[in-house]
Amino acid sequence: MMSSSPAALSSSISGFSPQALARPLALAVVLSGVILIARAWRTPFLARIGLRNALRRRLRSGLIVSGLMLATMFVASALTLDDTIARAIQNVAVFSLGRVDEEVAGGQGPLGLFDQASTDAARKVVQADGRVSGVAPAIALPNLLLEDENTRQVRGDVLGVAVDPATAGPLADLRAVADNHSLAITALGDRQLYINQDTAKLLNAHTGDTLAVFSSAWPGQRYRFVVLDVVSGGPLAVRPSLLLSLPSLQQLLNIPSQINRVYVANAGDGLSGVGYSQAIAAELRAVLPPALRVSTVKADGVAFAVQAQDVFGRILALYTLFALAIGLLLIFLIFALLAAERRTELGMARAAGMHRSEVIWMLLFEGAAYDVAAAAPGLLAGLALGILTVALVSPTVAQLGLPLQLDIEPGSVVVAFCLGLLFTLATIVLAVGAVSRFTVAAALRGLPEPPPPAPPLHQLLARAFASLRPPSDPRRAARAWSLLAWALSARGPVPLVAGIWLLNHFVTAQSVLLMSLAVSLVVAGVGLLLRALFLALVTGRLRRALGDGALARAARLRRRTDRITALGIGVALALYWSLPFDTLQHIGLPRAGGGITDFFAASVMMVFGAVLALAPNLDVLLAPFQWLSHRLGRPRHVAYIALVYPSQQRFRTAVGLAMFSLVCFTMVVMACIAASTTQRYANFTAQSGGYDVIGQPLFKPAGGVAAVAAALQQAGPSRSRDVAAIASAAPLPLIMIQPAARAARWAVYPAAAIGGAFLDGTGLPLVARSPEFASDADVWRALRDQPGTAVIDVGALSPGDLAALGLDAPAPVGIQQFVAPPIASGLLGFSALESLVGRTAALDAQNRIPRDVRDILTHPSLLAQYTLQLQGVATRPGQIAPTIMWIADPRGGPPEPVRVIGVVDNSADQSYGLLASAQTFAPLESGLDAFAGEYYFFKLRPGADVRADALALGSALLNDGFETTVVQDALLDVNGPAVFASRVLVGLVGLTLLVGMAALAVTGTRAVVERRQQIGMLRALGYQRADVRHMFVLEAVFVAGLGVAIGLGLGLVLCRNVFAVSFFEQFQTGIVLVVPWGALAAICATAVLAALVAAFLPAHQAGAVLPAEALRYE
Amino acid sequence: LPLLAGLLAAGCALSAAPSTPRLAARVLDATPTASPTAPPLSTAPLTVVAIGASDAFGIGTDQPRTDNWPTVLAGRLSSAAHLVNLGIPGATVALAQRDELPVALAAQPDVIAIFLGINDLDQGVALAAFEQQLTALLQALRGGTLARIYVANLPDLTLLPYFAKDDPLTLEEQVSAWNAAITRICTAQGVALVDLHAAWSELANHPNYVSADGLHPSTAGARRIAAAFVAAIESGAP
Repeated sequence: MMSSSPAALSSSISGFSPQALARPLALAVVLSGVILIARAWRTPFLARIGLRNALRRRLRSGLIVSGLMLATMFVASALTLDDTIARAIQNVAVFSLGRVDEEVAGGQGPLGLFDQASTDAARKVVQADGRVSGVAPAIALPNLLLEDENTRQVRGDVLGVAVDPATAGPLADLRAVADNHSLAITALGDRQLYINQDTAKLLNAHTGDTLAVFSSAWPGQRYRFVVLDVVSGGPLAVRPSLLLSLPSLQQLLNIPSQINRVYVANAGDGLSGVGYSQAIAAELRAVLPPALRVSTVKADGVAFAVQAQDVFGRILALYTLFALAIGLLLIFLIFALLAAERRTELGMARAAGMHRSEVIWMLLFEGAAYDVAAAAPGLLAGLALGILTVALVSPTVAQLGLPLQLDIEPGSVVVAFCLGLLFTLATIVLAVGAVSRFTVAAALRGLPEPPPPAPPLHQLLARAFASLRPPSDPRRAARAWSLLAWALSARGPVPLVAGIWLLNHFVTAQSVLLMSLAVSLVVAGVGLLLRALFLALVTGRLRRALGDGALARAARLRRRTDRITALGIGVALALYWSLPFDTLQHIGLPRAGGGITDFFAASVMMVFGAVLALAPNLDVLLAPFQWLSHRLGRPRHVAYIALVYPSQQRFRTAVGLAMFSLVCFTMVVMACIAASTTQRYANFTAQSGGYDVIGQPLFKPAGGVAAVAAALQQAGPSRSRDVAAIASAAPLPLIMIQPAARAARWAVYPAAAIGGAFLDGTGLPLVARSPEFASDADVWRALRDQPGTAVIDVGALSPGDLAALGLDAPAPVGIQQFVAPPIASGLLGFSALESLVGRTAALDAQNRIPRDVRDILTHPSLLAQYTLQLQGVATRPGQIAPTIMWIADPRGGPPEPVRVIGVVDNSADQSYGLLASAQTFAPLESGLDAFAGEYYFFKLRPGADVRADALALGSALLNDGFETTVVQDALLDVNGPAVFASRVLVGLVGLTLLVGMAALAVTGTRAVVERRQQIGMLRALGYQRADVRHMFVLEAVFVAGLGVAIGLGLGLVLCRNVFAVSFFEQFQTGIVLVVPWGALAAICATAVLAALVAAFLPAHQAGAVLPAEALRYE
Repeated sequence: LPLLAGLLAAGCALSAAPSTPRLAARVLDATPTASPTAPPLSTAPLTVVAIGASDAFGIGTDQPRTDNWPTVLAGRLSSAAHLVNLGIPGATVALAQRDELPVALAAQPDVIAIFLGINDLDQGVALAAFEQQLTALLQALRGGTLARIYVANLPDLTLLPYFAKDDPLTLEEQVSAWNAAITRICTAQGVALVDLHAAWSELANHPNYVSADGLHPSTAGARRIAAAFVAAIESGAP
C-alpha cells in the first residue's frame, strides 16, 4: 500500500491509483473523440440526425442527461471521499509525529546517551543535502511526570525534548498557540519550558504556571519549571510533550556534550519529505558510528497509519466498484429505454435503406452529445456531493481534533471526468448494439420482436464451411462463422467448454474467483445444453406427430423451456455465489481469500442470478396478484394493466430490477458495515461502560473507593456533586486452571480486583449467569458478599461455549490487558507508574513473575497458545454452569479456588478479565506488592462538564497524585482515525441513498414519459385519470418492492459472508456484524417511496393530457 | 466409595488392555517416532494429573497446547482421559507443593505423573531439601488421593545443550546423586519410578528430542517422555 515516493503517498487508500490511471484514460477519451469526429466528417447526415434528436425533445434529453450525470457523479464523489480520507489519515500520522522525519538513537546507558561530537560528520553530510531542511542534536526524556502547582493537576507519560536550535531549521520553528507568533528556543531560561497544547489541555496549564517535573532520570528529585508559553510545531508532536533548553537539561542531568537523539527534518511541507526518507537514512547510516541506529520515524508512522486504516480502504474500494456497477446499469437502462422508444422511428430508417451500422452511429452521436453534456456537470455535482459528505462528517471529526481538510487530487478529477465519459460511451455502444438488432417489419408495426430464427446446428455448420469454399466472400464467411459461434454459445457448448477449461486452469492458478467464474460458466453451459437437447428432441417429435400444426405448440414449448432454463440457471448462480466464502474449504478446495474482488463478483453475480431467474417469470410471480385483482371491482383493469406491463417488457424490467436491486444491495451492505464499524469504534458508551473519567493515583495508593469518596467530600461538596458513581479496579497477574476441562492446564488471563460501582454491575453488563441467581443483581450481590465468587468476560470462553451462548469472540487479549483495568483496557499503561518510581522499580513488580510466564505475556504468539479457554461452561443462551477455577499469583502464595458465576459482555473489546472483589483475591495477594497500580472510574451525572470535572477531581485528589483522563478522549486517541472513517461510511450510505434514489427517480420518470402514447390510448378506451395514476403507482410499487426485497435479502447474505470469512479479522479490528434493522427499514421505505414519487408525478401529468393529444405525441 | 469404584474401573480398564510386555515393548520400541495418534490403551474414564514444570506446560513443543507430554500421555492411556495438567513454568518441588498440590488433591485423580527436579537442581536447591520436599509432596498425594503415582527421575542433563556450560563430570555426579535420592523416596513411599534417565539415554542419537532453547523437550521429546511414563504404567508397577 505504501511506497516511498511522494506521489504514492498522496494516492488513494482504496487501492486505485488515480494518478496512474489519469493519462491512459485521457488518451482513451481523446481517441474516442477523434473516432467520433472522423466518422461525423464522413457521414455528416448521421451526426446531424443524432444531434437533432438530442436537441429536439428538451424534457426527455434533460432526463437522459440527468441520469448520465448521476453515473459520473457517483464515481466522482467516491474518488473525492477516497482522496480526502487518504489525505486525512496521512495528515493524522504527520500531525502525530511532528516535523521529525529521521531520528538517530542507540547510545549507552538507561538514557541511550552518546557524544554529540560523534555525529558531527553525519550532521554535516545531511546538512549539505538539499532534501534536508534541518538537523538538531537533542535529548528525548520519556515518561516524565508533571504536577502543575497552580492548577493542581498531575500527568504522567509526558515526553521531554531539548534540541540545539543552531541548525534545526523547521525543528526550531515554534509558534505560540494563542496568536501563532514565532518563538525562539534560545529564549528559554534555565528553569523555563514550553509545553504543547496536549500537555496544556491535560494539566489545564497556562503560561506562567509552575510545573514540578519528576523523572526516573533524577529519582527522588522534584525540579520546578515555569511555563514560558504553550506552543506548537518544532520537534513537538501531538502527544503530551514539553520543550526544555538543551544546555539546561544537560546540566540537570550532568551530561555535558552528551545527547541521545539527532533529529532530521526533511524539506517540504512535513508530508512530502517522507518520500526521500529512506535515502536520507541511508546517507546517515553510511557515516554514523555503527552503534547508532537511524529510524525513518515519520515514514514508518505514515505507513503504519495507512496500513491500520487499510480495512477502510478496502471498504471504499468495494463501494467504488458498486458505484461503477450502478452507474453502468443506469446508463444502460437509459439507452435501452431510449432505443425502445425510438423503435418505430429506427424501423422506418431501416426500411428507408439505412444500414444497421448507420443506425448504430446515429444513436452513438446522440449518445455522445448527452455524454458530453452530462460529464462536466456530473463531475462538478460529484465533487460537490463529496464535499457535502465531508462537511456532514466534519463536526464529529472535529471532536477528534484531527486536521481534516478536503483534498481532491487533480488526477482524481481527470479520472472521474474521463471515466464518466468513457464509461458512458462504452455502455452506450453496448446498449445501442443490443437494441439496434430488430426486425424492421415488427418495429414498423409496433409488434413484439419475434424470436430470432434458430436453424439447426448442422445447417449452420454446413453454411460456415461452405462460406470457405472459393469464391470466398470474407463478409459472408465472417457472418456464417459468427452465427455458428453464437448458436454454439446459446446452446451451451461454448460456455461449458470455456468453464471446463477455466476449471483446469484454476487447478494451476489456484484462483478461487476464477474457479467460481468457471463454475458459473459450467452451470450456464449445462443449463443451455439441456435446453437445446430437450427442444431438439421434443420439437422433432411434435413435428413428426402433428405436422405443421405443431409449430404453435413448439413455440409455446420453447417459451416455457426458456423460462425454466433462465429460472434454473439464475437460481443456481444466485445460490452458488451466496455460499459462504469458506464453504469451498469444507470440500477440500482452497479457502476464498475474502478479498474485495471476491465480494464484488459475488454481489454482482447474486443480483444477476436473482434477476435472471425472476425477470422471465414475472407473470408467474404476479399470478397471485392478478388473481387478487380479478376479485376487485373496477380497479381490476387498472391492476391488470399495471401488472402485465412489467411482465411483458422483460428486458427493460430486468435491467430496471437489476439496478434497483443493486442500489438497495449497496445501501444494505454499506449500512451494515457502517453500523458494525461504528459499533466497534464509535460506541463510546459501550466502550467506556458509561464511565466518564478514569483516575490513576501516581504518588501513592488512594486506599479504595470509600477513601476516594471521602477525600472528594473533604475537598468540598462541589467536587463530589457531579459524581454519580465511583468504581475501582486493580489489575493482577494471575495464572488459572479449570480442572473440569477435558485437558485442563494452567493458563493466563487478565484479572482485576474490582470495587465500588463495579460490584453493583455498573459498566459491566452480564450476558450469562449461573441458574442459581434469579437476576444479574443477585450475581453482583454474591460477588460483593461471598468471597470466592467471580465473573469473567466473554473472551475467556471456548468457541463451543461462545456458540452455545450465541456470542461473538472479542479481539484476542494482549499484554496491555494484563496491566490495565477492565474498562477501557489497553488505553492506559504502565508508563505513568514508571515515570514516578523509575523504570527499574516499575519493572520489579513484573520481574517477580517467573521468566517463562513473563515471556508468555510479552510474546503475542505464545500468549495466544496459553490464553485461558473455559470449556463446557455454557448450558444455554444466557446461562452458564457455575464453574470452579483455581487461580494463583505466580509471584507467590498458594492457589485458591474461585467459582465463576457470571459472564461479562465484552462486545466493545474493552472489558477483559476475571473480576472479583478484593476479598476474593486477598489470600493470593497477601504479602505481595501491588502489581500495576490501581484505577478509579468516575461516572458523572448527566449534563456534567466532563472535562472540567476531570480537572476538579485531579485537583481534589492531588495528595495521591491523581492523574485524571476523560475516557472518551482516551478512546479517541486510540480509535480517532477509525471513528472518522466509520463516520465517512455512514456518510456513504446517505450518499448512495441520495444518488440511488435520484437514479431511480430519473428512470421511473423516463418510463412514464415514454409511455405517454399508451396512456392516451388507455384514456381513449375509457380509463379515468385516477386509473392511469393508480396503474403507474401499482407498477412502481411492484418493481420497487421486488428490487428492495432482492437487494435486502442478498445484501444481508453478502454481509453474513463477509463476516463469516473473517474479512475484518485479518486486520485485527474485532469488528462483528451489526445489522441496523431500523436503518434498513428506513432505507427500504425511502427506496419504495422514491420510486412511487418518481412514477406518480409524471403519471399525474400524463393523466391530465387529453387522449387525442397523447395519441399524437411523438 | 465412588473414588474406589473409579480407581477399580480404571485399573480394570488398564488391565484389560493387550498383554502388558508386548505392548510395553511396542511403546518403547516405537518411542523414537512415537505418535500421539497411536490408539489409546483404554476407553474407560480416567483422571490423570500431571505435576511438573515448563516441559509439562508445553514450552519447547511445536503446539504447546497439544504436544506437551501430559497431553500425549493422557491420550495414550485412555480415549476418555480427563487430564489436569498442573505444570507451571519454572516449578520446583517446593513450588509444586504450594501451587500444584492443592489442585491435584481436589481433582481426585486415578493416575498422577510427576516430573520435577531439573529446576531445583538448576536453581541450586540442596539435595536434602529436595528430598524432604519431594517426600512431603508424595506423602500428601498418597494421603489425599487413591491415585497410582509415577515419578520420573532426572534425564542425563549432560546431553542437554543448556547445561553445556557446566562441568559434565560434576553434573553427572549430581544427577546420579539426585536420581538415587528419587529412587530411594519412591521405594520408601511405594510409588513407581519412571526411569527417564535410562529411557533418555538415546538422547545422544536424537538431538531432535530437545527444542531450540537447548533445555525443553521438543514435540518428539515430549512424546518420548510420555512413552516412558506409559511403559512404566503398563509394566504394572507399583
